[in-house]
Amino acid sequence: MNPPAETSNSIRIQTRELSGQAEVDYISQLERIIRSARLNLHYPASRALRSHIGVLHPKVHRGLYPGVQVNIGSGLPTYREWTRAQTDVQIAQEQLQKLGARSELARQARASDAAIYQKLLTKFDYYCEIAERELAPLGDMTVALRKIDAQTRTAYFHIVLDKLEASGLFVRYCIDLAQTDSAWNRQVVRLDAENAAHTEQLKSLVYKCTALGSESTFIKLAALGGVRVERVVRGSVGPIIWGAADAPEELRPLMQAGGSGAFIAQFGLDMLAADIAEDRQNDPLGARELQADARLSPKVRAALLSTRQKYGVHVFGDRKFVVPRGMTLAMRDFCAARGTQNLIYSI
Amino acid sequence: MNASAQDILASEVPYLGQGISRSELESVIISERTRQRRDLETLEKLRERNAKIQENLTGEVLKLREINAHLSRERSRGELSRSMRRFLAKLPWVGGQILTHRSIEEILRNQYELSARRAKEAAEFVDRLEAAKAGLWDEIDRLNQKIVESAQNEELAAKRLGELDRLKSVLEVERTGLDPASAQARQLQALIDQTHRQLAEHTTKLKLYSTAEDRLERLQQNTRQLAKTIGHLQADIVVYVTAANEKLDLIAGQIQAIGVAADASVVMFELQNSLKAMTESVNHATRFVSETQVYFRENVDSMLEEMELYDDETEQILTGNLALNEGYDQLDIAGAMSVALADRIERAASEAGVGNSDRREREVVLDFQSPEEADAPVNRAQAKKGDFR
Repeated sequence: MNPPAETSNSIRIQTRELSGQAEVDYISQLERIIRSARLNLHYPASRALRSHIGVLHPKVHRGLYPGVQVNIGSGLPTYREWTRAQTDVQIAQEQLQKLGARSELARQARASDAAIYQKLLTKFDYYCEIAERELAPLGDMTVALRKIDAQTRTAYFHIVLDKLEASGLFVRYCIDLAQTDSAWNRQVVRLDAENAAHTEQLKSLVYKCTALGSESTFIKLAALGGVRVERVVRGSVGPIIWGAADAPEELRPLMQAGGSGAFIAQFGLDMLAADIAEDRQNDPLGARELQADARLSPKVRAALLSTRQKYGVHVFGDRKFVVPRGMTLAMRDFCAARGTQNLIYSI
Repeated sequence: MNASAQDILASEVPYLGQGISRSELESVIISERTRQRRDLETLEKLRERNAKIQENLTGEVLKLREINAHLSRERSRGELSRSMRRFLAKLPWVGGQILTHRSIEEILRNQYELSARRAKEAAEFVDRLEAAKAGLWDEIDRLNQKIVESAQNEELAAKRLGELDRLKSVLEVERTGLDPASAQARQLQALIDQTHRQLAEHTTKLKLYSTAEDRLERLQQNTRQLAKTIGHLQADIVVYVTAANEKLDLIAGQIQAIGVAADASVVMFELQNSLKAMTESVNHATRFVSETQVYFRENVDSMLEEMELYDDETEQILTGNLALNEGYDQLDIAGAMSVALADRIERAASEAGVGNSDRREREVVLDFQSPEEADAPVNRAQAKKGDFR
């Protein structure tokens, strides 16, 4: 990817505007990285994510937008850009109806020197191309009923929350919980015939917890009466480091050695469940990613540990990487030096 | 003279364009009115949409007030939790945990996405207005060409009528001294009849070109007014879209900042900032919508009323022209020529920079071609164009 054109501050979020060839290279590379990462069900849906990113490609928007704004911290487009693509897809059908027939727009563009007709024609083609596009949800939660145990009056649910986090990362939370019907507790999931619907209370709680990581989410949910949390999995897309200057200290030498085309795309996974035999950290970057957990005080960390022990759950942390072919060995050495064995895909 | 008369009668008038008839004129006017109606309908739809947006905005303002109230509660709760935290150190998840309210960040994001969509739709509408405006100015250019063409044809018709009128007078004088049964008198009578026929033909043309010029000019005025209205509206929406997008950019950054801020006081500060920006954005939109409604009331309604009046008037004029097309008499020629002459007087006076009230000045600048016309200006100048249409 070409070096960034300009860096600006948006409140506290560091952003970079890319345009022209830098924009083309960035979006194309991002699509390749997501495809190469081979994301499983614990991560945000890869196809939807790539489709969403595709809307931002200059080849698709045909120069209707001046460029793309990138969140330097996550290496992904900013919230503004994801929303832009989402809005355009949502209004595409309606706009196509309002624009009328393409042949008429083409005729007007040919007949008149006014640039607006050409712009409308370009918009028509843009909306046509994106109208049916799949989008990665920026904040969407679904609840599915797994099973019901009539004897213990317990229902088992699988909750999936896809969200673009404030940190700029795309995350998927998968939560398995069991709810026991009791007069003493308010239900967090309503069961109606075969459908399960989450309550505002649950949605609000999960939404707030997601910024804290799977461990904190587990403990917060466990504190709810009548609910037993069996598993919390958090899969994240990003951060993607595009330049040595933006890299955290431990990855900077790798990025510097990688040269101008260097990048390190990270796909973290942390899991907390009662059926994990022992705590295991296979993440070479540990808790050093953009999480609130990493910033918690030692005192709070100690409180977390004691709660975890109380519920008898263990954590498993993992991270896979996508890097340029030339950086694969160096990346592997980096992981080995930290005692982890990680999946490293190269492109 | 007869040979010369035959030459005059045989000569073609080099009218510009594809000729004119009542149906052609009607067709031009109808197609232009259709275009104007379509554009007005677009504005009407915008008015309806505006009313709907206004309704939604009222709901959004209420929602923002709710968030504000919620935020106030959170703040007071935050003060409480800070003091309680000392006592509840071993239960870090008790303090500040609110399970009965949706996440403010989520609400802000929903509101942001809704506002982004509205701003985007407004931007799309700006482009369509731009295209409508460009189309209207193209149409004004086309109408200008037609108006100039009609004016030139009107002058050609008037010139031809003058020529034929003089010829008829000469032929009638020549015939007076002859035996009505003589071959020469018969030949002269035949020429006089041919002159009459051409006079009728060119009188009709003169009236139609004159009508076309006037009607097209009126049409053009409406089109120009419509183009200007759309232009103003577009400029207003551009201001709104630009302001809304600036605010939305700010809010997008703040929403992300809220999520990454570790300190509760920073979160509160950013929330308040975000809320303030969002409220400003909504207030701005409300103001814009309200002002646009006033604009609609002042412009679209009056344009619609004027359009109805114009259509009635045009119908009457064209019906009158149809009656004229069916027959010819001397009065019509005189009338038609008077109108043409009145036009020339107005133009000459205008070129000389003379005010409308100074009739004597107009007489001075006229250049008459025949003695019969010498005493005509005052009477003809007094003739109103509309009297003969």
